[in-house]
Amino acid sequence: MTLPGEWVDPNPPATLAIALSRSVVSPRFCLEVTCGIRALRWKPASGGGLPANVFSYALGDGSGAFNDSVDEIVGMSFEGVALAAVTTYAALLANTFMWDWQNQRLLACLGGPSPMQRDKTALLMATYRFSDGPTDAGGYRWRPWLTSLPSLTSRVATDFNGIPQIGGGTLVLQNENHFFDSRKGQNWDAGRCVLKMGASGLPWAQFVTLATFVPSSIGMTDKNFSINVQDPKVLLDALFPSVLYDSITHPNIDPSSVGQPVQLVYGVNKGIVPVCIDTVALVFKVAGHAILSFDGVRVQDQTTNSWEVKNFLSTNAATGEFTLSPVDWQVGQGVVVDVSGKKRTNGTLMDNPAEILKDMLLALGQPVDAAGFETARLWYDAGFRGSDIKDRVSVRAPSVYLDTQAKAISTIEEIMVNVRAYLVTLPNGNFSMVPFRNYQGSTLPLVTDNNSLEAGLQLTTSGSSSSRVQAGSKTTQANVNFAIQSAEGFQQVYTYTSPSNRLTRGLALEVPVTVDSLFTKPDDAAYLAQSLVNDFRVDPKVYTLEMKWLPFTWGAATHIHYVSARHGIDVVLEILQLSLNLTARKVTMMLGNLRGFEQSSGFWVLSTDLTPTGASLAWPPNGQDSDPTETEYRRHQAGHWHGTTDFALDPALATQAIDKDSSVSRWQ
Amino acid sequence: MMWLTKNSPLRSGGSIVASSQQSQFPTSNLASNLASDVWRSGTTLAAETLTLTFDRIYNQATDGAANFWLILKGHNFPATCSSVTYKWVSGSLESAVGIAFTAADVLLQIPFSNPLRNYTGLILTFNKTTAGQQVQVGKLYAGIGYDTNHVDDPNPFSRTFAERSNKDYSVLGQKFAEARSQNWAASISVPLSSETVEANLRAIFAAVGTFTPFYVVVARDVTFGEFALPRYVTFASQPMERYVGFGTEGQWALTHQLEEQL
Repeated sequence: MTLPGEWVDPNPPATLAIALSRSVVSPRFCLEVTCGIRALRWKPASGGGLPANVFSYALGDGSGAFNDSVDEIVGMSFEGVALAAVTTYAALLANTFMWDWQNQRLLACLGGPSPMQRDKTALLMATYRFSDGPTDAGGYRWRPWLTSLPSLTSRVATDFNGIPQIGGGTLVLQNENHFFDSRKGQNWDAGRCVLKMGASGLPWAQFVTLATFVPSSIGMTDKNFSINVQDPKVLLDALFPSVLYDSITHPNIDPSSVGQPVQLVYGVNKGIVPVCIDTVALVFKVAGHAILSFDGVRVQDQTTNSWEVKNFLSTNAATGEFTLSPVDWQVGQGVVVDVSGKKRTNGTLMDNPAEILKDMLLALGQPVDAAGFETARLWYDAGFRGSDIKDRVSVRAPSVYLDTQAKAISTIEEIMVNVRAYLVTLPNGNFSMVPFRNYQGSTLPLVTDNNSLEAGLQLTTSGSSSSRVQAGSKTTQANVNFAIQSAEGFQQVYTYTSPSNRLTRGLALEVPVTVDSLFTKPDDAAYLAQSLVNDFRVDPKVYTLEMKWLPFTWGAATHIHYVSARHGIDVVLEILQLSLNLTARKVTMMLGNLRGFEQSSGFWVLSTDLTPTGASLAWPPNGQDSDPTETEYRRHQAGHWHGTTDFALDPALATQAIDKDSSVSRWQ
Repeated sequence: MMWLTKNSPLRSGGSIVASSQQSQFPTSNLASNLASDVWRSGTTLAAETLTLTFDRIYNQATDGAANFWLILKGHNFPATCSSVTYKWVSGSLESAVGIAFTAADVLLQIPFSNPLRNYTGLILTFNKTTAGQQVQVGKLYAGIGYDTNHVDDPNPFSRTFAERSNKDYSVLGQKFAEARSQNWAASISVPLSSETVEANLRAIFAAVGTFTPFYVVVARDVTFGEFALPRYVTFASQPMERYVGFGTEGQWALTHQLEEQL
């Protein structure tokens, strides 16, 4: 139904993508704001068909019926436990609530007692809906009070050292009618702000979520009510691991370990230092969860400082604990242990970086995008080991031992750098993982001189998007330390050198970079070394482009095919930064050519390049095939970590991946 | 020219009660100044009603025989209604009177049914074509008007349309744009007005300023077509009043800038 003052598209689009592909669009921006209301004063409610033990909370501000105190109550919890929503009086049984909008009251039943109890919290979650113009999208009333939106900027660090994020900012709503005066005391930081985009005539189901923000604080003036919002990644600022050792749970614990976190361990870890949780019974702990196995233990000789192999007296993988004999270890001696860490639910080792990241995020209580993590898992999955199809082998398997508290985001970023992937905040607020890989230009969104705005192209090779690009742009050699056993002072190094990087830049000597990796396997170290060098096979270029509608739903860390006849450019570029100017209705993109684009064989796949079965050599959009043969061939021919063995010579690859498949790539 | 600024059911003491309403679009929306805040009925009743209670008693002796107006703006008739009626509320039972409507906004001059009675409200009835339909009314006005009584001639009226679309061009000249609503802006002159007219219009401006929307009808004669439709406007700027000597006495030449409210 049309509202007065609403522009109506005479040719309504079926999807937002169709709308944005047109040159003329009538967009709708809708903002759902959820906030908490601590309900303090309840009174018994009866009559009118209400069951027993129902209590009511009035939301009205005394200005009369239908005073629009909130648009909807979407949730209620009592002492942190959610109550079920019902829609009829008769259904108000124990632990339910009902939003009685006609009477602007909340009805709740705890099965007997009132929600009004000393020191107990009844929290309502209220939703307000705002838009920047007249719309009744979804059959909802959107108050057209949205006057300013934050500049929505998503960006990636060009060296993976960071999480792509949407920028924070301020949502500004008009308050000239003093609507918010009586609502400023509500718990605005208890909910989320969800910004959706649609277009005139578009069904509500086709509206797309542009961003989900975490509110941090509010402000109010005579004219405006503002909500300062942040990217959901701020929720990863929590210290992790969060459970600490104490002397109540472990009376005989090594006093120096009290206050230290209960460890988490993923993948194959060698030479990690356990915590002695019982100095009398000589019980050690390496994790607060079950692990796959204890693989070896060494004790430092206090005289010679050498590390001597010992036997476990006992091990308990289910609790992550082991004991040593008093003959082998005395208090004060150094001890290190080799372990295979956390298990999958099927009992095999969880070593896939996507699984590890997902597990960590769930432990942090964060929402994850199951589909995105599954795609990432398949990307790192190299097949199965031996004859057990469940025992999956992964490439770029990090060894993660978390025995000191740090901001979760720091730990995550370190893993991302190693496995060359992005952890992205999706528009719906869920976290997802995007491994960096190649794309086929013909399958990507096409940007030309026709749809880039007259501000035109700006090109720089100064590397303004990342200090690392400029500083390391001449890297010709990478030294990757792996299998690092710090306590024992041991590590291995894999060195990779690209003569062409040096020779094409006229350098007499190698320009090396040295990094400590999380890897234990040489192959994984080799991949990282190759990646670090091949990032700089070509000069870094950063393009800046301005467009009108098309990129509104694009995101950083995705790719486009850019063709400019005027400048003789035909390249695949990665979106390093994407800024939506919601006021001017424009998008500014910063695009990069790094990580082996252009002259590097691993990244540009022509539409005429085919697999033996005739399929496109490019990776499918979701990174996976129904036919494993296709997957293997692409890995060898078009992947940036292809093996030395040719597909045709190794029929075993058609049915299972073997260790050979995850062997070192040579980047021809 | 008719100036309609005293919306009785929305003034202190007045009220609007619907037979049903959708939770997202209650009758309280009708009190909003925004044209897009609408009332929508439920979908179970065959006939919907809006019961208007006036802020005071209206009667012919006080308010005149032909000066009570009803405006229904932003409605969705005739898509949903087979007929619409109104009925005066007084101490006695009144008869329902049909309202003629088209797809455009309704403007109706409604006479008091009995010149001797005191009226406290109106009941509007929307007879739906099917009960499952949803009646929408964007804005509602019920009350008296002020007629400047100059000739209903659109000559002292000039208008333009504000177009708020947002445009950009590509490198090769393609135009990209955002389609946005247009609204009506007008300059209205009330030439040679008496002190009384000037004082009344000045009182209207003092009440509504440049911020509160109200209705104007440029020409009440329907032969003027769209000029006879009610416009939901605000003053765009303060009125210009020019005093003109005219024979032995002066007259006011008044110019008002109005802009349609979306």
